[in-house]
Amino acid sequence: MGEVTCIIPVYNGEKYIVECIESVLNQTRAISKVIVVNDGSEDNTLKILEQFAEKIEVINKPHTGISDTLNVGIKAADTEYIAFIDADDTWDPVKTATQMEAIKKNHIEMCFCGVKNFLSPEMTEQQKKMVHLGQTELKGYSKIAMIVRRDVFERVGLFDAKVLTGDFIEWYSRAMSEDVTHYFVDEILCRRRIHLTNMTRSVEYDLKDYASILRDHLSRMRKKSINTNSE
Amino acid sequence: MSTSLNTQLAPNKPDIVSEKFEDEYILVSLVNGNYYSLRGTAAGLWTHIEGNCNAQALMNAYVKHFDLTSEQAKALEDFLHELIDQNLVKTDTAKNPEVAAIEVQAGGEFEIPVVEAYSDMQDLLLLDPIHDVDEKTGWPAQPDAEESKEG
Repeated sequence: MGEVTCIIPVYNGEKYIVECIESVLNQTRAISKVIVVNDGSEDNTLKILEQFAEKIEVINKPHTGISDTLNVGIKAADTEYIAFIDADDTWDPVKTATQMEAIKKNHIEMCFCGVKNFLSPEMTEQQKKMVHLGQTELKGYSKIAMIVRRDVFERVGLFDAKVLTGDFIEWYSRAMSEDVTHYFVDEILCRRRIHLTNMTRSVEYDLKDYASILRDHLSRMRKKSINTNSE
Repeated sequence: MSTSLNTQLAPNKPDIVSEKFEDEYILVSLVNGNYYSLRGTAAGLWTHIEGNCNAQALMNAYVKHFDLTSEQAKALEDFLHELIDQNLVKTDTAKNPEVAAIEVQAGGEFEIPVVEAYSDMQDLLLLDPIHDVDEKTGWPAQPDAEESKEG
């Protein structure tokens, strides 16, 4: 059994997946296994993946959405730790090494790191102007910045396949209510691409999913009587 | 606390998303990553704000409906000011249309309305940048945007 599996969920990721996979294969502390879960892509993703045939494992499945796709990857992993990356993002070469060192040193179950948002170069100037990138260096409480012990999923459960937007927020809320120990490495170790088709933030119906997740989160926290009130 | 209540109130969209769950409203701020819970009387008040209303008319209606003491009325006023201070509502004092009388539907007892504010999910909610949306086409020039990204 190796140390870390990287799970890459992909749906129509032909534009950026090469860059993504190369960044995972170029880690200074090698990833034991790379599992790409192809969620029924209709573009050339599968063909592109052939060039990595000897270095990655590909699981093909019908299109069912992000949470179910992640879960297929988690079930196929057999290492002590699991990391994730979306098919349009990249890791810095020292991400795995830095985070694994932090995990071992601090004896924690889950580790996050800083994320830098960047505008994908193919966007036109007009499109770039419409994005208010704001602060680009952020605390990466997100899948792509996480390394987590695989057995945490046995305690917390898998991603909720019913959740279409905010899959990670929903899972993280459950992880917090289960008191999963975690640590944040304050270094930018991954890059998150902002492009035309991952901009969901002002679409109201997606945001309503967030409200629903936050309401469930509050109910859980109220039950635990944890006072998270910031005011 | 200096803002006059002689103003129209409306949810501060698109910065704020609000959603009703049984007897509770959850408001999410896309600007600061905080989220808010309004329950009981606070949720009833927000229902009126969702429909846009005049702050003073709302005060008057609640004072009358629940026969509020001056202390309760002050708590209500503080609540409305807090919604304004936290940028959860938009105010509009310039246009002052005819103020429609408000009919309060809420039953039960008046409870001191509270804005319960939470910041524990801020880092997760602020990860995605805000972008403009073209009213006609949605996100720039792709009305039938394909889904090419997961996560």
